[in-house]
Amino acid sequence: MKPIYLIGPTAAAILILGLACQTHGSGEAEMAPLESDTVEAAFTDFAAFAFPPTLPDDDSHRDSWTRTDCLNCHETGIQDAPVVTHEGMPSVLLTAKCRSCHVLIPGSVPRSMIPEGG
Amino acid sequence: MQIHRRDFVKLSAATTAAAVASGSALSARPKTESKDDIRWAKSVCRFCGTGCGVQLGVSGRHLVALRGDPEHPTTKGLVCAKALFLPKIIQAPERLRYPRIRSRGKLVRATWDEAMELTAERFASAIREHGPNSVAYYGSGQALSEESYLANRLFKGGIGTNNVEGNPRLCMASAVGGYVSTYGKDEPMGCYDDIEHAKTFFLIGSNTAECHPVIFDQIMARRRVGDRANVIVVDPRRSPVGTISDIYLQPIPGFDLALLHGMAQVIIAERKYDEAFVKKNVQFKAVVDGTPKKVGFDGYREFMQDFTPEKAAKICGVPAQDIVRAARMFVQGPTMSFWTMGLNQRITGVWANNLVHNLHLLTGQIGKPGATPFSLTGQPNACGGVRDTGSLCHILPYGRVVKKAEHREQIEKLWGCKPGTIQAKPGLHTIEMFRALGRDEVQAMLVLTTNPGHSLPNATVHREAMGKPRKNKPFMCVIDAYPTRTTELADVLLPAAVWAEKAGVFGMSERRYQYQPDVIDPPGESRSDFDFLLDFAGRLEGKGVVPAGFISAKFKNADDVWEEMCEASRDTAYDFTGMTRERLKQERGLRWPTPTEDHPGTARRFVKGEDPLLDSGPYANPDLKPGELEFYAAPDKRATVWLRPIKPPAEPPDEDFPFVLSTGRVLEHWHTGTMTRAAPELRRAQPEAYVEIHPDDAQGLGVNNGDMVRIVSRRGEAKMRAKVIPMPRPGMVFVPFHWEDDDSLINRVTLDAYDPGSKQPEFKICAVRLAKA
Repeated sequence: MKPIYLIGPTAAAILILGLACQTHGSGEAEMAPLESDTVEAAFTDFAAFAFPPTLPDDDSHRDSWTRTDCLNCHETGIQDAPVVTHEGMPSVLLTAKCRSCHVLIPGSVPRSMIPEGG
Repeated sequence: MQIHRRDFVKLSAATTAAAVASGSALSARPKTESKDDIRWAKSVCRFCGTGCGVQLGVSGRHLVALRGDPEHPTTKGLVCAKALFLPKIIQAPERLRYPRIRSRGKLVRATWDEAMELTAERFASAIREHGPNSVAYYGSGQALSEESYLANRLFKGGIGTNNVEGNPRLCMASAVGGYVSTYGKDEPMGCYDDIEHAKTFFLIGSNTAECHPVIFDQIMARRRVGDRANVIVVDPRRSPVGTISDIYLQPIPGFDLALLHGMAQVIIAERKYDEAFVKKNVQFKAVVDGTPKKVGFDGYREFMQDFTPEKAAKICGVPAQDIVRAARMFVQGPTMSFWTMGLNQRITGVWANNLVHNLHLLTGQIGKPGATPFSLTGQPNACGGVRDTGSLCHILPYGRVVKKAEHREQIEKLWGCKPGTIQAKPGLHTIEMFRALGRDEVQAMLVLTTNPGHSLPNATVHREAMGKPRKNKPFMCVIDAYPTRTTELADVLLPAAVWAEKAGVFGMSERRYQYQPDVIDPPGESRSDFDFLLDFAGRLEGKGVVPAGFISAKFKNADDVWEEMCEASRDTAYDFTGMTRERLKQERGLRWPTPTEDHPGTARRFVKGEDPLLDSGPYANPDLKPGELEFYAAPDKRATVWLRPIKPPAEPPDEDFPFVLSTGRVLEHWHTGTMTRAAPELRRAQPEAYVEIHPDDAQGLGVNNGDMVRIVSRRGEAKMRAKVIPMPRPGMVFVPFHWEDDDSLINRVTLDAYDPGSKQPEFKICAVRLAKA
């Protein structure tokens, strides 16, 4: 069963997107963390999950410019995509295209594509 | 508004629970709960002119998070990635922290007093020896309104020069020219609320999906509701906006005027124009022998015979049947048009703007919910800060112009100037200002919160003007928060406070003025531009080149300046005298006109029942019925439909330079990239420059995806990787302009020809050749 990531109900008015499809999920981009991306740095400088996770670089993400494009996989969980609900967020935010906030990192690959132990 | 720690803890607890439930490892989360209280303050995004409301999560004097503000009346909590990464950007290690003075070719650390004294002395000596027009100010649509107003006041009223410019000249001047020549005054009459009412969206020269993502998201939402909106897109490059379009037209770069005329011709021929509206509110004019002449509707109809769809198609390269389809869809109103640099950055920028207005005026798609022509802006405060405060070389605050004696007198009186202080002749506009700098005619220049060493077209020439060592080289003082391709050319470099580090007002595209608070401290010895300007003015007063007390005796802080700004707007078409500082601090912005303290702001100008200026004051008309329009600022109170001829770009492609180069932006970066590259995620998302080449062209050139390619024009060259993709039209290439290394600096290639009316350069079109590097 695919994990379902939720923002808590008290986050109704909040656009901290981090946990909604946060970077520890099975679709996480695999890359060396930058200094300021480390958990330690995040807690030194910024609130937890203050920043939206990035997208891995593959055809499906590159060509996704509407929310429908993204939900084809992220609503159903096909292709090992983490199911994202953004539960509790104001409805207007659910009209936005995902790439308004989630930037795609060239060269990064989905974790599901990395061989075990690789 | 503040949201306290208990709310944040609740959120943390809920999200932690969810994370545990999902098996995610979020072990560090409790550390956040142990931090000091986090409070949330309302503010405004620092990037484009959309003006998204944001909330800043602040712990002590430290910015720890940002989120969209769901209580914001028009952006409703939507933001884009650039805003979300602002906390990292503003606290990036590359921030400038200390003043520097050039010594033996290097910028070395100095005290504020040393740097300020040197700057003031160089300006004072230039004014004494060469007169007031030997100095210049080059400002920004990113400075606060109070800062731009103060700089404008100091230079035009204190020093006595109209050499006051700003980077909005590069991005919005043609939109201003379009509004002023059509309606008599600048700035859109509609608002973002109109998005919710529009049936048809006409997007021309605007990659809204990347450059104004929140507007795009709102348009996209209108595609999902029952009464699904239509979207027509016009752009020679097939941008991501195409993902939501019904009709996508790709005209030959520079020839979309024929397309717009063609659409108007169809509307007339099929009698789909609004005859009653036209009769009451519109006049038709052509320029004959350099003078505007009224030609009447019949004259216009006759002129349009040269633009039947078939004739227009031959000029613009869009099939005739598509022109007809677009025209028929356009009239399915309410219709809202959006445009940006694709129209503005052209030598025919004003004319292209006029022709969009023509479509709205012919069809009466204006002044009703969902029906409006709306120019989107690229900077957070180009409208409120530069256009409205009159901080360009030819204008004065709130719709006044330097050429009109009455306007000069009004402002001289308000500012307490000796009569005749403000010159009647416009100063140097941006391109001519930098050319004059290169000829050493401008001897001292102040560059504030902008990066002309990167952003000016034909950059090599203008970079040499700013920085090339020579006898009598002009003096350059640059104020910025980050190192840029301009700060490296400075003689004095001052570290600036930015955004949440200073308080003041931003005015965004829909006439909404919004207050941003200072919630954190600037790094090192950085100071706000406002503090700099007060200090600078005081020193110039001390040296006798500005009347004693002209600035120093009147203003101690930005609040004082705001009071005078409100007064300057009184009885003008901008009247915001009811927009007190306290209201702005409490409310999420107000749209002018706001003439009284109990007025809620104006959604639609020129409409009886909505625009308070039609009820009282110099523009009042008691005879109008609610909902009726009156273009009160225009000659004869009628908007003008202009008959504009077709004019080719300044540098069309030819045998030697067979491709058209167009430049633009990507979603992840903003303008010259000095801020967005400071966020690791954004930097990695778009790490380097590239050139988009159509596959047909790439094949002819023998270029494959990823090959290094030289892009050469008559002015210079750049080198970057090829992205072979069918986005630009064949024969056209596209380069985003965000990257600053010499190879990526595409403005070394672009052209500084400019629109004769708006003086805005033609960034969007120049001729280049390509070769594998």
